[in-house]
Amino acid sequence: MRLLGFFSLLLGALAAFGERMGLALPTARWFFNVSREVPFLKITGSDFPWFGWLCAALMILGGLAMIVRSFTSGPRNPITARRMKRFCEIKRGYYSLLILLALGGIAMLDQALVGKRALAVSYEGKWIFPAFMPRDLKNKDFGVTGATAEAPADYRKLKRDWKEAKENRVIMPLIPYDPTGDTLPPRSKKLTERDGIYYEGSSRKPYWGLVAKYYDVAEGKIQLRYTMRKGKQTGAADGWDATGKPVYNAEYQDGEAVSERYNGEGIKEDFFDQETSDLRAVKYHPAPPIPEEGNWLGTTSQGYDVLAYLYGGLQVNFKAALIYLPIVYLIGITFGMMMGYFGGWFDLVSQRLIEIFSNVPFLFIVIIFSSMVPEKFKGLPIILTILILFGWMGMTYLMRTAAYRDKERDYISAAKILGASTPRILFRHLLPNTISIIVTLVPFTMSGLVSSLTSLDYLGFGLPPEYATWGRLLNDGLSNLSAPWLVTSTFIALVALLVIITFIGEAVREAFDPKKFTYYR
Amino acid sequence: MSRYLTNSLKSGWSVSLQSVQGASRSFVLFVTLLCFLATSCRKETTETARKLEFDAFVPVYNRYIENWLKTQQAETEKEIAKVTTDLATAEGDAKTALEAKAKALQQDQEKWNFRLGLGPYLKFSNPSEMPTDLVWENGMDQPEIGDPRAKKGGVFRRSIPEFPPTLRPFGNNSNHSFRGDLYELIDMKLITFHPETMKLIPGVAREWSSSADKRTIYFRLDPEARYSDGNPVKARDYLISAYVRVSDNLVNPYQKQYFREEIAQIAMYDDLTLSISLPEASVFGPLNAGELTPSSPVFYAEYGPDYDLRYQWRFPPTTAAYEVRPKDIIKGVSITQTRVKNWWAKDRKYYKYRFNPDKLIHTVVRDSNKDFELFRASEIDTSLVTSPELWYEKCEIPPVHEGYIERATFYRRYPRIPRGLYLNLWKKPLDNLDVRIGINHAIHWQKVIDVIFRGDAQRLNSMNEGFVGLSDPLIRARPYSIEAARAAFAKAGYTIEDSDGILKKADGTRLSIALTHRKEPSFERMCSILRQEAKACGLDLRLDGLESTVTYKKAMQKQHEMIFWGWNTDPPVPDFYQLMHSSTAFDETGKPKVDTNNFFTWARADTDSLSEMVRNATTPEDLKNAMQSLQRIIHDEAIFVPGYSVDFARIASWRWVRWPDCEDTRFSPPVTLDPHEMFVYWIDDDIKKETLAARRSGKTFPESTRVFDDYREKAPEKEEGNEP
Repeated sequence: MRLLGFFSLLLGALAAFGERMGLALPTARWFFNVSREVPFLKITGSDFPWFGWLCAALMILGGLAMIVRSFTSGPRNPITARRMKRFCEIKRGYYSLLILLALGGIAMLDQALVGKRALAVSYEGKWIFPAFMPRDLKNKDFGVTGATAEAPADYRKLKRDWKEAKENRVIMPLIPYDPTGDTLPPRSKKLTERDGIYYEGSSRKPYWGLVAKYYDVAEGKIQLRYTMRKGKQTGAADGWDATGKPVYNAEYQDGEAVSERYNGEGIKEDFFDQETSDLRAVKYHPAPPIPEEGNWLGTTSQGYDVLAYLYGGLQVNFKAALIYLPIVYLIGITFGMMMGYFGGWFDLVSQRLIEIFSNVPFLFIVIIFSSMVPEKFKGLPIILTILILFGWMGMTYLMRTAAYRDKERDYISAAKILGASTPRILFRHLLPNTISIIVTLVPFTMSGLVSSLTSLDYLGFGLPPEYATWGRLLNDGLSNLSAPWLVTSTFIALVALLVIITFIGEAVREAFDPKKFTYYR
Repeated sequence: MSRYLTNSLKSGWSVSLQSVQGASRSFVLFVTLLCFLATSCRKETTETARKLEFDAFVPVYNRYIENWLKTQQAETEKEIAKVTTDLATAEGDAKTALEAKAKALQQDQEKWNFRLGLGPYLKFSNPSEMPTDLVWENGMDQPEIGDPRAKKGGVFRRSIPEFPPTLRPFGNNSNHSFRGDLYELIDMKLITFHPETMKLIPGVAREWSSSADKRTIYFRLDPEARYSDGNPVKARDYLISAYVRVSDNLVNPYQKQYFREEIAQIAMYDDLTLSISLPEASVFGPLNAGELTPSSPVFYAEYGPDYDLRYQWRFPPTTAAYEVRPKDIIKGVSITQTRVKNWWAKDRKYYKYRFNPDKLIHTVVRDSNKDFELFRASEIDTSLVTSPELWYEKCEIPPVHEGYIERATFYRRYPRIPRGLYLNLWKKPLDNLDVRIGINHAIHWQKVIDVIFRGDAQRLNSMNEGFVGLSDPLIRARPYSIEAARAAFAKAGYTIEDSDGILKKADGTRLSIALTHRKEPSFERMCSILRQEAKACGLDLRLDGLESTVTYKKAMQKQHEMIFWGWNTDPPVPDFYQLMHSSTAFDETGKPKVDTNNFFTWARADTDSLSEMVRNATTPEDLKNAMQSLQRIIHDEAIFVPGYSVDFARIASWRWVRWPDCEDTRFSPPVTLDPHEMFVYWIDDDIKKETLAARRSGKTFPESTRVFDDYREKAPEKEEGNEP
């Protein structure tokens, strides 16, 4: 409790501090960014992000209250303490929780871990921290001139360019790619030549496929592209001049040109004598994992780094869960308890309402919504709204039964006689006594949310493409089965997350079970 | 707005009438009704006997057309009067616009007068009425099509994505994806164009000739032309062809409109001579008039109000090379086309090396991935593998390496599909030229080409590029340039940079444009790249991915700001009228007109007359000038951001499918989207046996990947013959 409070206080304070100082701190910047992006969360005209400030204030106050209460509320409830102890004893669930918390921590590192903006740049003797600045720096700020001077700074390129010159330095995040909006140039992989035959890496089989000589390997600028069979150039070859104009066609057989045609500037020999890279295997997107290029899990067919994309998807899942769970539980619990506590007409009408809601075909609603919503509002908020609209019914029935059972108990009657108001009875007396139902349900709701987000994105009715989503990656992988790294990495990530959450859920359920030994044991 | 009223005479020939607006015209309607009542057709049609009923139809339809023309004439007359009075008080731009309108109306009026002067729409005439000074052409001086080595015979197997809902060539549901294979692609028209030289070549007509005013084209049919049932083709069959399509026995609004508005008269002189008149003369008049196909009176003997159902699965006798026999229709599974025995045109110059296989089997395969797998398993003979994934990855399979499957890249010369971003000038800030120019510089198509198309596609340079001899080859699309884009945006007043790098005006207006596109994975990928690169120029592209019908509807309602779109192109000549004419831009209230193809909401007097000129030019020179001026205006006004184009087709085929490789035809004639559609391939059964035996015994052939780049567009600034 104390720890949670402290954490919340810290986050709120960081958010407010970052906003005042013009810093973009990982995760803490999020409240203000949301506030700026969503039209109704800021005061129109003055651009005042009230939602951001509200969140920051709530976090600080809530955190303070939690810390204070942890000191004033006296000794811990022995039942709770026993449950916690039992949970820690169930190792599988306990370690899963630790892993999940660690994942959450990693997800919170945000641009400090994954992103195309440098963590720190030392330029002309001064240190700059672009990743933590709210405004993008431009190439011209780092002395780049020419056509790209006005473009946002390309730190990966700066790092390459400054490798030789020692006075300037760039420190990139561990994964120097953005999850989305960062299409990489086509990738390439080193080839090794043995006895005139080319092999891919340390492979023993001669290389089959496309190879190229590059003007610029990192930018994917090709000078000559050949087809290779059994490790030798065989088949059609194309050449481009430095401006990207096609100037050369040829037909090769066993490494020798059979026929060729050159129609560029100057003579053919000059074209061949230009300074270019060695022959490299061309890996168009989706490219397989190429550690030498920094793509540990390959790239998607869009040209995004798979690892960065998975990370972005993880962040989206956590964000969605943090918003979705409290709201759904607030509605579901309140409604369910009221149904059970009041009974009678209210119960009957509510039950019918819930029946109607649960019979509406969810997918159709989503499809209709996604074609109706103006593009301005598309994004996580609208999808979550729809999910919440159809997600709160599940727990009402459980809460209803619990309230029905407990409302005849003596402690409720006692509270009534003492003159407690209905909300007080519901939330201070009834709710703590049904907590085990809620807590056991939470992990399963979360895994349900992750799967429904994934499936919606898979079907193409989910989040817009600026969000990294596992569903879209899965879809990409299934339509590119020849690129198995897409589907395997997504599948493993998704299954691992769901398994972890399920383990936690099982452990919580067991820890909160009044009977110590259950059939599950 | 025009809508169709159906004459509700209980049993009379009910004929489509254009809706009549205003009290004065209801009189005309009344007169028309009286006319129908006065005819004797009522008695005839109460019978349900199965007869063609053609002779009874002719006077009714002729009268209908005459009345319709008179209505149009009166209406145009009234409009001319209105414009003339308006013109007296108008000044400046409004005056030029009105003058252009008056000119267009005069032209319309002249058209109605000409058509009324022609006499009956369906006319039975005699040879003495033909002009005596006609100069007949036969188009026999063009190169042959196909390879003389082509062998007749064999079976060609391919897949279709869905089974057609009907075999009828017209009527309800007939506009399905398979109709091209059944009709348009193989039909013998009166005359057609040569798919390489674009000159006219004979079809069912052996000779043709234009009248002095170029509006009437005379055709002499080939005396040997036969339907697949052996009956000879007669001139009267072309009149019947019109009848079965326009009568009220079926709902067929587009073709009814076509016959009413695009054709002025169909007349026959004797069994083998007919003429077709067009409302206006144009360069491609003979080609347009020569599009008609005949309809066999024997086949349509049972034609009547239940046509749709009765003829649902009957394949009409055809003059083309392939027919569908009733036993070859396996519903939901496959359709087989069989080569007509002793086809009348089998030795004709332009057809003798085409349509070679004896049978074409089309099997339904709904999943495109499965289609490739079937090809790989040699259940299908060829596969179109133009997409980079198919070409570079899926084709890297043993049958290709071992030479059983041969691959070819064929550069074609087909008009480029105008695919790109269409800017709606009705929406702010797109009304500002500088903003539009900035957008043109801020859209990075080259990166899309490099990443998504693996460098294989080409940048499209202009709207309607690639019409041979017509398009302006000098127009170059504006390249992606951060500097140029920012300079243009600054000129439009977007000078301040927001915290996220997006430009805004001094009053806080952000440079943010919605880009509507179809929600398909590949389009989403392209638009994400465009968005990412536009951001570097300070332009915020809001991606608005919608389901495809919603996308279309949004654009039709002119609710889009910018839309990613591509129109179909059809050689030999493009149409600018529906894209740019002011009549398609705004309605009477000054709001954008809905349900038109003018996605730009573009209206200007000079483009009106130019786009009309493209439709009605009578000399190739006028046509070319008008078209190039329009292309130039589109470029200068930056209302279209040209996207990408793919100017080749890549085909993988099993060894036994042979493609031409001779002097006249290298692989395929160039004016085609898909070389299959030219029917110049053939099946070599000997090679098939050899290949199958080789596969069993493990013998391999050298891998074959050929490039046919005879028609590849060369870099314009480089002279030919500069090869080392």
